Formats: sequence, C-alpha cells, structure tokens
Amino acid sequence: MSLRPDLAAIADAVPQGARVLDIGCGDGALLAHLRDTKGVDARGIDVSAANVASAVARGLSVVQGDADADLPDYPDDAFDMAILSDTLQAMQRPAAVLDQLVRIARRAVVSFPNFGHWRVRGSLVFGGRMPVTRSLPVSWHETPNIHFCTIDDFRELAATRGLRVESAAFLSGGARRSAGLANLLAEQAVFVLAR
Amino acid sequence: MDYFDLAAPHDGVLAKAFAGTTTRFALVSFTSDWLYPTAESRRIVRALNAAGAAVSFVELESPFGHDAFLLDAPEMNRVVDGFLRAGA
Repeated sequence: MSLRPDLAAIADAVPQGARVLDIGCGDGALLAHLRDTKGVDARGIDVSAANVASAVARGLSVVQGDADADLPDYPDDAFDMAILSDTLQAMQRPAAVLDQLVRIARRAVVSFPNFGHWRVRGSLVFGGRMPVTRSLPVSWHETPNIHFCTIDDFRELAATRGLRVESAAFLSGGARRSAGLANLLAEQAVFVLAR
Repeated sequence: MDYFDLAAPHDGVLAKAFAGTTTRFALVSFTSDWLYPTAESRRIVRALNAAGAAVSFVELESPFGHDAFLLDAPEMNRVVDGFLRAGA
C-alpha cells in the first residue's frame, strides 16, 4: 500500500510496537499501515461518523469524537506517541490541543500545511485573495481550517508551550525537501515534539 | 434495568469498573434512539478511554429510533463486521 507522502513522513517517526493515538485519523489509513508494518497498538479519534465506520471496518479501535473536547478523557502517559496529522489548523484551541498531546503521550507528531509557502504568500500579495492551493484545496468560507500557521509560527508556539522539537520533516510537491528556507518553500511540515 | 448502576460498586467511578480490562469494545448509537441516547454511550466511551481500553464508538444517522439496529443498517453492519473480523 502506498501511503500519502506526509503520512509516510509521520510513519517514519513512529517506533516499532508503540502505543499510538491518531487524532483526526480519517478512515484509518495511517493507523492500519502502522499496525500492519510496525505492530503498533493503534487507537484513533475522528469527528466524522463515515470515517470512523471505515476505520472500524478495517479492524481498528477508533472513537467518534472531537479533539478539542475529548482529549482530557485520556489518562497521562496513556500512549507512546500522539499523532495529529493535518488537523491542528482545524482545532478551536490549537495550543490547548498541543498541551493535551504531550500530556497523554511522551511524544507528539504534528503535521500541518505551511501558510508561509510562497504560493500562499503570492496569492495574498499579488492576487489579494485567500489562497486555494494543492495543500489547501478549499475556499475560505468552506474550509474546516480556522487556525492557519506558518512553520516559524509553529516553532514559536512549541517553544512557548515548553516543547522540544526532536525532529522535523518538510514536504513540497509530495517529496521531502531540506530544512533550508522551509518556511518559504515547504508546503507541509511534520514535527516530532517532546515535553 | 433502570436501577442497575455499574459504577455503584466502584465508588461511583465508571472507569474503575473497566480497570485492567483486555476486552475490545465497540459501541454504536443511533441519532434517534431515546432509550439508549448517544450521550450515555459517550459516558461509557469516556470511562473506557480513562481505563485505557481498546474502544470503538460511532453514532449513526437513523430516523428509526431504538429499533434502528433491527432494520437494515449497512453502516452498522460494516462496523460490526470489521470489529468481529479484527478479533477473529
């Protein structure tokens, strides 16, 4: 099975046999991949009933719920790794969600679209319009994304929450790219954070 | 049935009733079920999560109330099928 490039970057950060919670797990593609290739104890949360049904149909343990509201239910250190893929920007309170991630898991993997990418900047500067791009395909009034950030914004947020960046991967056009000028040139970022 | 309280013998803490369980759980509720409303299923899910149990939960759309699970519910079948297969 070929995994979406951003999900593959996340999967690389997950150790063998880890206890994993994927928040905003969608139809469970990443969790199923991690279960099958790394033998992880896979759990998930997603808001969509259709997504949860698909994930459970794959044999995964997934709960229909909302990261903004439901993460406090999990005990401290319940997981080795909490995954938040392409979801942070849709949260009501992203900073509070980050705090929860590193409370319930020792490490958190967070991926998000980079609002600092040159195409996004170009759309605003030259087009005067909210960007609709490959990694942000929905127009502003329909998007679930309410809290956009750039890579530099995210680094600052992590620092103010007292989180250490263990590693970071950057993607553009579905391929990994270097960290150089990532805030301008990367479409997506994948950060591994630790307390 | 109305007087049964699973939490009562556990100091009123439902999560304690599930402490140490290795059972996998799947809960399915229906939007129009007033007898077993989604909110109560969520309370069970919350307790199972607090106990670290492997739990699945989904609320499915249906206009048929408590009997929805007796009727043709393809989404429920998909969920139950996947859940049972994973345990086989």
